[in-house]
Amino acid sequence: MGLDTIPIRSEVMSPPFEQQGIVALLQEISQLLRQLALSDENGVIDLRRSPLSPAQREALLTLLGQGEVSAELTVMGRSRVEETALAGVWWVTHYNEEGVVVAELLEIAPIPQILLSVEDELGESQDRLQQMIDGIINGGSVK
Amino acid sequence: MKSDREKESGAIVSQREETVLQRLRRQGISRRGFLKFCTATASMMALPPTMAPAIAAALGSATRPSVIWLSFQECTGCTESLTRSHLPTVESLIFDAISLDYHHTLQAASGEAAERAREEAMARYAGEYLLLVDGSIPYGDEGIYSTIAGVSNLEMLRQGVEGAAAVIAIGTCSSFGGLPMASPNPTGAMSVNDLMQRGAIQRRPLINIPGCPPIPAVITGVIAHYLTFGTIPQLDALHRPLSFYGDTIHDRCYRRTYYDQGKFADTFDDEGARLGWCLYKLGCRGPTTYNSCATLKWNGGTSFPIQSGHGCIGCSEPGFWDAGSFYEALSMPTAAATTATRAGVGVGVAAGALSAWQNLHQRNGARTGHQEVKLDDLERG
Ligand code: SF4
Repeated sequence: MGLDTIPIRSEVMSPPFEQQGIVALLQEISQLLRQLALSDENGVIDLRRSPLSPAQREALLTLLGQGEVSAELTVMGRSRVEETALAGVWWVTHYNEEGVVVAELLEIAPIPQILLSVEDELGESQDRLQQMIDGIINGGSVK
Repeated sequence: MKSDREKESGAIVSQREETVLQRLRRQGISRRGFLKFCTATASMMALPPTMAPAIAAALGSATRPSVIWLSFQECTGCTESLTRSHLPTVESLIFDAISLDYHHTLQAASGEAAERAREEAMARYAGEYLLLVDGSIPYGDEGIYSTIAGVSNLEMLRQGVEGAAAVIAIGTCSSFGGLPMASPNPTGAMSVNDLMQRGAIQRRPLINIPGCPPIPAVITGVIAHYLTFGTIPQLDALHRPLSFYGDTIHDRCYRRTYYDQGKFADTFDDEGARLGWCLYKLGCRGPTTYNSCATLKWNGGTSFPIQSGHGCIGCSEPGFWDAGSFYEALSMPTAAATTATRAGVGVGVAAGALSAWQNLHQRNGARTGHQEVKLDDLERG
């Protein structure tokens, strides 16, 4: 009986010291992607809590690459959502009104939470549309 | 099942009708804005980002607790740190979310009106307010060495603690005694915890936020935790919140890989220093200091001492001022024990032990008396 008959995976070789932080993060992303595929559960990694040096952070940015989607939000200051070259892995940066980063996350999701419109808002939109329609019918003019 | 503490804090919130969420909504903050606020708050409180929805839910029902801030033997550095915080959105929202009823430095009222405001808040919210304290308390000669409006710090603290739901000691002075307590401690300075232990003031749930000064985001993070969940965060044996003081600087230091490889700067301007090697031999206190500087950093996340080329001086640890020169390498037992138990990296232990042995002659007597730092120490090598 060979090793191939039992379901084991060999551990990755340990990377050089300088790369360990990055490899750990990549492994976490991979695990969260697996979780998303299996259970539809979104994952988030707080980048400001990960002890990366500025150089390592840059290296991670380069490794993850640039995807097709990017979005800019204006909500209590700017927020930037960028798809990485890996589908389902998003780099989300929140700034405050003074342009200082208040949160930096990797979100593992079909689409980041902050971009979604939720049910309450859909209801509000419908109410507002109805008001517009009523306004036009009653007032007779389009503003 | 809610614990008694949670019920107790439920009582606090019923005092102030408007919830934090309602208040934010009234200020025109959208659902996305609120989500962003909660995400930033989770990050600030060192909670996993997946907690953001729980924070949103909690803030949806939490109202503004009354906060009284007392300052004793201190340098106002803690307040400076807080007000120089670079996260105006989050921090100012937190301060919108509490009712700061008394703070010497920040309040507009002065003199008798100020003292009246304190007494009124203490009476109105008895048993419910959150008491924040910075500065140590002189205990010698019945506390005569520091008074405010004719009342000794000791007496003012005693009264303040009596009606408090919980006490947060901000800064190393109120947490551990700090600089005022440094040898020979002329005023008999003590920490809030010392006074609770010896029965000079009543015992209340106590959170210590040491640091000289503490990181602003840690101060607001702990307040935000109390505000959000109405409970005290998980603490270590020294009453420090584990979320911010659970790891040493060394555990989270980006120079750690050099420590593990035994690559050290020997002086502040040698090749090793230029290459960003470990500052252990130059006296770094990272291995024995529990704080978040390595991850949260300072000045809006710009840098922290080690990133700027200077070792950690351990300002958030008890007795840091009397622990010998900041420029002498830590002694072997502490460094080796920390490394071995927390990380188990063999090379680091060996390197640390060797370098500590080399420094053996220098640290003799370091803990017994205050040592002067000479120019030579800085230019060693
Ligand atoms: S000794 Fe200081 S500089 Fe060296 S790795 Fe530890 S914390 Fe970082």
